[in-house]
Amino acid sequence: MTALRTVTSTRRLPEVDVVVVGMGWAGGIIAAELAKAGLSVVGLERGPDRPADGEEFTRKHDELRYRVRHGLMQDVGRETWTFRHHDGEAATPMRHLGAFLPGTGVGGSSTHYGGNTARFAPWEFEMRSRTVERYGEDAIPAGSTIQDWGLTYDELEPYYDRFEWAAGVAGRAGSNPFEGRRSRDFPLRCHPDPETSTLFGEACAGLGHHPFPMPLAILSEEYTNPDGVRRGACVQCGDCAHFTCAVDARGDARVVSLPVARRSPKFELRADAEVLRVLHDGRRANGVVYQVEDGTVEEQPAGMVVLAAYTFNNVRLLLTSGLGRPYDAASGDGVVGKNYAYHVHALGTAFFSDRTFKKYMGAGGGGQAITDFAADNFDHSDAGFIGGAQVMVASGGGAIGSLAVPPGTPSWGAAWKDAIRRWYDRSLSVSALGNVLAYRANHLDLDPTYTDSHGDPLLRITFDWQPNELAIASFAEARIREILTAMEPDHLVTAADSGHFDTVPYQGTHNTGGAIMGAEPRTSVVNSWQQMWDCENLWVVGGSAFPQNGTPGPTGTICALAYRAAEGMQTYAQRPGMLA
Amino acid sequence: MAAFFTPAETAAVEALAERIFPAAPGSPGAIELGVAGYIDAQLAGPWGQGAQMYRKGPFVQAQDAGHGWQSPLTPAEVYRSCLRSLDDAARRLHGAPCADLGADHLDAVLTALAGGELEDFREVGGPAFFGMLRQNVIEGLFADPVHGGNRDMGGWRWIGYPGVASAHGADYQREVARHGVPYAPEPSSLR
Repeated sequence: MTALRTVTSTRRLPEVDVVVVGMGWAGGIIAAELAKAGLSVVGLERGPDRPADGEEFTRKHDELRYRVRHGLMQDVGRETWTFRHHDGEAATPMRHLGAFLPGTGVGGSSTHYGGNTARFAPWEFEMRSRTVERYGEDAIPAGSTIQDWGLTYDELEPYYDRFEWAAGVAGRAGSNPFEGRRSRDFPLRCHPDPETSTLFGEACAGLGHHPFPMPLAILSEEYTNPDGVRRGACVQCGDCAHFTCAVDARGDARVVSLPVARRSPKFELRADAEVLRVLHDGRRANGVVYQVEDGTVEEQPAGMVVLAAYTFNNVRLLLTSGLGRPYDAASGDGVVGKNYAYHVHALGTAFFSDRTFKKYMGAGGGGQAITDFAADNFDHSDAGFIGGAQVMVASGGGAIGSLAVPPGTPSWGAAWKDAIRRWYDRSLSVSALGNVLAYRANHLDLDPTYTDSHGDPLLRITFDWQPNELAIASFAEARIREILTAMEPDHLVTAADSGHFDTVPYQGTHNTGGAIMGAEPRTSVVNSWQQMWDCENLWVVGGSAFPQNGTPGPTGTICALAYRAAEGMQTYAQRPGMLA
Repeated sequence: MAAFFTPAETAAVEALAERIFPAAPGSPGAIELGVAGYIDAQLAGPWGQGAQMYRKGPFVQAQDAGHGWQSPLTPAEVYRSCLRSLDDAARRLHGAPCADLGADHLDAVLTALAGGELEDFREVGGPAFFGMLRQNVIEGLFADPVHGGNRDMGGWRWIGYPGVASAHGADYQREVARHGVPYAPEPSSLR
């Protein structure tokens, strides 16, 4: 590895109480909460600020520009990641976006998600200890480095609740019997059920499963949240994932958090400001240096520094700034870059010649799901794996990416042309989102060869499927097949992740770990308040803190952790020191 | 309106795209829907010129699968190079460039391309070029007409997609709950 370049600033700005790096969900929540508390806050976002009225209303859902050409996503021409399956393989750069799509710009990835914000089950937070307790130490997969979070579900519950009421989550308390204790109901009733979802729910119930409407941070009716932010209802347009919401019904940092932060004269948001280093003396962070569009590098001193960028960018900034102890996969020592994880997937599609689903309608990632086969919700004694998957009905949308045809159909020519007409709106997909555990072999570090547009090293991802994950995927595929078969379709096809990880097809933007939380500094980067063990005024917030990945999606848990971290920062502002 | 393709390249892409989505009595094919013009504009635009593509070296062909595209070529460069290779193959196998072949011979060329049976596609590979061509044809058929293809929303009419909800002022709140009731409005583009 060549030595990291020295970044020098040409201008030192006045010190503020807090500088927040990244204006996505986590950064937005923290900016809002600290601004409300009267602290001076600067929010830095390396992507653009897209004003709500900056683009014609209808153009926001242009499928080519946003779903196909990734208009809201990180520009990998400037900075990408390198990838290898294991330490012995040569890493190559991901030259095009593929498996995952981190967003860029104010609002971050919250501006293009499906609105899914389900809580993790209590088991996820104590995966290691509960597995050992019920099945014995031998049940932990070989090479796995899973650990408890250092925080229980019950401790996080009040923050899930705050998030759900701030964002406006539609759901029905008690509908998922496997969910943890809730202090109160969701603030909003569920969305109408599309036909695909009703069919899925009936099939699941018939098999003895427990279908429930997935909680969605998408307003089912007009809503004013506890911060006084008022937004209108979803129009069921079907274009959530990959797109900004045209009516601001989907909860994201832009419409929920930043309006609150902006009420404070002591909050300032700077877009197109890319943080290059965290300044520190080894024990305390002093601020950050960042580059603006014209190439100028500025220094923003701060009493507290918060890294709230995407998982990868949090970890990379720690490494390029020389903060924390880098993880060494060979020895297992160190922590920064450790326990990188993801989600494993299975998918099935059923075709019904006598139905039309109007599947381009609906609320984002909505519809029904089951968690009968997730967490430890069934007896794993003979399962051959730990963890599991949420199984859910998938939402359709658009045209370019929604041309499913039955197995055996040619992929081009007259027969294909006729098949896409026949089946376009007559198919229904069910997907499964499964745990990826943490392993000694799966990790993040700085690439020794490839650099970004500034000359800084890219982050290198070392990752592959492990037997536990492939067993989850294959198990979930079998459950999907049972559910779809119960619907009596004309055709049916299922698939599951297998073999080795492929960076090309889109799979999901649920990358976690690398700056994990835990109960002690030897095995984690941050404590349960997301405060860095080695640097008490530095906070690293986001999916990077997950010790391993739970199921389903990470958004709700990231946001709950952000509310809790913001509370910890307020405590710290009054009384500095380690909070745990 | 030509932007990137030479006339010969346009003719080749039209011929190939038409085999992927052929016209039939009463239904348009790729030529009539403007697919070649769409691809031409895309190749002349940011995507075709390598925007949002990491182009720093070294360029190493990975030994294992799963690493994705490792060629330094932009999409526009891929088309230029691979269309030439494809015409060479067409001449070798059937005695004429793609644009001058009949349907059966063109289908044979495309089948060989997709199946990896043709050589000389540089580091791209025949199947990868076929995948790119097929994807771009699908975009030209089903992307909003503002991008130059899907003429008169003929692609959308073919499958029954009405376009972006907000473009025709639709509010699906009521419609989504009406199960079993078809919804078939006149489609609307973003124009």
